Amino acid sequence: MSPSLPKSEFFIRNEANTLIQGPDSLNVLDRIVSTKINDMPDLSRRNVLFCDYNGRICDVGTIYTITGNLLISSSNSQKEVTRRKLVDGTSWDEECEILVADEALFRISIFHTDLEEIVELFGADICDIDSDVLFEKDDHLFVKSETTYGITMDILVKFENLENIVSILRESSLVEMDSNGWENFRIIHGITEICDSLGNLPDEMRLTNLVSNDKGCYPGQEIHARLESRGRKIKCLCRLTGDSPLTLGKQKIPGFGTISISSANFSGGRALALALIKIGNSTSEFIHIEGNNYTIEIMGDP
Amino acid sequence: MGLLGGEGFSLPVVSETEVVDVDLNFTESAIAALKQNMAGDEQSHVLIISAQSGGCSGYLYDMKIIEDPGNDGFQRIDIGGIEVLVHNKDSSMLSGINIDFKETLMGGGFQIVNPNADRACGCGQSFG
Repeated sequence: MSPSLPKSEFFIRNEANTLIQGPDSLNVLDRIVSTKINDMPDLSRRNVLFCDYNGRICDVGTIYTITGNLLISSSNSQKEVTRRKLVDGTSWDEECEILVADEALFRISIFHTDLEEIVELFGADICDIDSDVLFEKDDHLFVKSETTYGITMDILVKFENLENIVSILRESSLVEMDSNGWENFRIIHGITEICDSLGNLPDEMRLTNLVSNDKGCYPGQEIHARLESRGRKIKCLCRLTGDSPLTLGKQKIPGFGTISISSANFSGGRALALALIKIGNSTSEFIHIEGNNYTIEIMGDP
Repeated sequence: MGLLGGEGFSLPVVSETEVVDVDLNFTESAIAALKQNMAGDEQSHVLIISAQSGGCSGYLYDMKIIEDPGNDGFQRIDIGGIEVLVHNKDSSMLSGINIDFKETLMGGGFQIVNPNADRACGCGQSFG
C-alpha cells in the first residue's frame, strides 16, 4: 500500500504527563527505563520504554529535559503503575519529587509540517533546529522529529495557552485530526501505542532502538541482552487492509495460525489494523478473517 | 516564565505509600558481622536498609552504616544493641525480610531473603 499523504494535520495528544523535580530525578528515572538517558543534555527529548523483568513492555514514554526538570509523557492507561514505580523507586536519601501534570501540560503534534508555516504562525525560528532539541518560544516548547512519514513538529503548551494555540492552528490551513483520524493515520504509518505494545517485546514492536544494551541493569535487561545476542524474533508487527471492519483481540485463523489485532480502524470504506503474527506465517500476502480477505504487510522500521 | 513557570502552576505531588510496622529477622552470623562492621560506633551510627528502583527485577536493596540521620520518616528496630532503620516508604517492601551473613570467598556478605518478593535476580541484589 502506498498511503496518500494528507495535508498538514494536527492532533492534541491524549497522554499522561508527569513532572519530576529534584537533582536526583535523572538517576531515578534512568534506573527504571530500558533506554539510556543519563547523558541527555538540557532541552532535549528522548523516547523510552518501561519494561517488566521479563523484558516485556509495560509503558512507553517520551522524556523532555527542561532546565533541571524532567517531563515524562506516557500512556494514560499505565500512568498509575509508572508513577508508582517512580515513587517507590526513589531512595530515602534522593531528592526527587513526582508531580502530576495531566491537566497542566499538553502536546500538540503537527504532521507533514511545513516549517515555514509554523514560523509564520508562532514567530518561532525553528527551521534550523535539530531533531529532538527543544526550542523555547514564549511559554511554549517546540520540538521536531524526522520520520519515514515526514517531519513532525510537537508543541508543548500549558493548559492556559491551549485554547489560544489551537485557535491559531484551526484558523490556519492545518486540518485538525480527531481521535478516529489519528487512529487511521497511525495505523497507516505503523505508529504503535500502548494498546499495541503492552506485554510485547521491544523487537516485536520495532522498538529495539529504545533498548540500550550498554547501560547496565534495568528491569528486563537480562532478557533484552539475551535476545540481542542470540535471540530469534518469533512475532512481527503487520498491517492488515480490507473492506470490512476488524475486531480487536486474538484469533486463530485456520491455515494461518494465531493473529493478535491490537488496533483497528474503519473509515471511508477501508478497514485497517495493526496485528502481531508469527514470523513463519508472514510469507502469506493475504489472510481470510471471518469471511473477508485482508492484505498483510509486514511493517518496516518506523 | 517558560513552560513550567508562572503563577498558578502548582501540581499535585504523588507521594502515597503504604506504611506497615517493620519486622526484621537477623541470623546470629548477620548480627555478629553487623557488630564487627559497626566497630564500636553503635551509639552514634545506625544501619539503614532501604530499597530503590533498579536491577533486573525492579528494585535493589541497599545497606548503609551512617551517622543517625535523626529523621522521623524511619522505623527503628533494635538488633542486638544496634539500631537498624527502615524508612516508612520502604516498609511494605522490606518488612519480614531475613538477613543472613555468609563468609565465602565468592558471593559472600549480607544476604537478604524477602518474603514480599515474587522474584529475585540471581545475584541476590535485585527483587520485585
